[in-house]
Amino acid sequence: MQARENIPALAELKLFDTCVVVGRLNQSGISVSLTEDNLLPVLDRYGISEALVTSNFARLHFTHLRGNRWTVEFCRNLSPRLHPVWVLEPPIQPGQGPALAVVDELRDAGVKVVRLLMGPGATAPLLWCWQDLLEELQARRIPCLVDFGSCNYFNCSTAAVPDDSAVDHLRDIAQAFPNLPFILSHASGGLGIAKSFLPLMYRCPNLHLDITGILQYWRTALRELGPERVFFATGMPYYDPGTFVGNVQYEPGLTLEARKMICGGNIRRLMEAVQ
Amino acid sequence: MNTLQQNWQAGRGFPDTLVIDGHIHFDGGFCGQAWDSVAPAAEYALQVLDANGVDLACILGGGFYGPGNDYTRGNDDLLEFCRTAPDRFIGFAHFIPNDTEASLDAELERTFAMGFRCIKLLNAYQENHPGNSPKMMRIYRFAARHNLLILNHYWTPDVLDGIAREFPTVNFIAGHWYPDPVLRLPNVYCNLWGLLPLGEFERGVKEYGAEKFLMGSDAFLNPITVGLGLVAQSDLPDLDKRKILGLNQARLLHAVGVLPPALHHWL
Repeated sequence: MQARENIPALAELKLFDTCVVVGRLNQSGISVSLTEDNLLPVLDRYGISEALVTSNFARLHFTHLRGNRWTVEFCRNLSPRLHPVWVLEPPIQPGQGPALAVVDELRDAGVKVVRLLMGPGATAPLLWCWQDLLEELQARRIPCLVDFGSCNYFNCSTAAVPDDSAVDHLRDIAQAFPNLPFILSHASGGLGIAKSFLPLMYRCPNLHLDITGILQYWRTALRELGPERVFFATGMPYYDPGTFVGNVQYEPGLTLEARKMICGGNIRRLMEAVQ
Repeated sequence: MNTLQQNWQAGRGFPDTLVIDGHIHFDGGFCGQAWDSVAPAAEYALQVLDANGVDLACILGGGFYGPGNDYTRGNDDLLEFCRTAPDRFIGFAHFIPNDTEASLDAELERTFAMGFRCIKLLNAYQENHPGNSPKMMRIYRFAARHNLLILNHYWTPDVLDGIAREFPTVNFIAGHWYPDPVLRLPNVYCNLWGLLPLGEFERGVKEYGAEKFLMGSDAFLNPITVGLGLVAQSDLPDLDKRKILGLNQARLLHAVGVLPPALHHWL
């Protein structure tokens, strides 16, 4: 039947997907990889205007630098609709020098969003380990996607659910850098994220959530903390974008402004604020 | 882009299309969606169905599915919920097979007398109770005797194959994405909700046929659009999408006598 609420058209919302992974995958169950041949047609089919793009070349290959540069070139060659995301782990050496060098490198490449690898196979969310790098990122207000996905051979998806211990460490980090925006990215699977995450969002105004967790959490955050705390994402190709593109569009009772903020306004605002 | 996808992206929902969500929990507090009473949950459900262009919903409980809980209370709540809009909600009564045979029989009879003609099972979550245990077989026999429809969160393919052959008059619905050769049995169907990778939905439908799949969202744990969008946005012809969105489920509900009369013209 016809929708009985005044629902805006998808095109009006200008969807900005904050979690897209490109590059050829060789993973069981994944039949479609996103490459230069199909990415733009896929975005068009699902009505997605722009996307933050990460590659597993960058996520899974050490050092991350080659893959990061590849991601930048991939986006530059394909379309201005694509925005490269620079994958980061903290430098091994302490001090601001190495951290500053990392940040200078990504800024020189024109990157405005980073993805912090904190899952298995990467660097756990330990404040003492990340502190130097996060200080440099905070100085420039560079938005940080927080990635608890696995970076080892056994599961390479960005989708992962942080447990209570990870949430506890994330609290230390988010509170230590109150002017650095963190977006929990593709925290999804099973019956959802740790229950402690929503209480943490109340306590850390710089902590945000994308909608790929599906369950009630993002809708609760939206209603209780405001639309500025929630970001649109699909997690493609690990997830079918069709699962997500209508979530905000058809959510009952939202203002058009709130829908637009979640669907893209929030991430555009953070990217514009990068110094 | 076909008509159905154009309408959906334009915010019109599904004009001239029957849409039945075959998998909605109104009471799933364990995932963050909690209600203090039934009435506001029903009111919210209607708001969601209306906003999304959904005609009818197969309603399941959830909050009383844990083996430490009293599932009969959940069936009472389910009845109260469905009575608020009998032309929009079809209830699926729940049974925990760890219960005694006498109590199971009593609850089967009681819910049948209440008017329920559909069953939702979750034995895999209930201490991993086998899908072909004597008590589960007792439930299937009751369903065969009284012409009931059964939806289960999960059966192993072997078990599903066995029970579908043993009870050929009962339609069995695997509750989550289940692209398995057992779908080739005439009385086995698949409710589609699952976190599928890009392209998997179309692959499964092409392999087993659109007639075997039923749209479902696992709302209100999820936004209902997770199921609707997967179908509406898929790279399938409108004809297939219409079957999956509602026509298949309508046929199954009608076979057990619970499809609301206002929707009979879709058959």
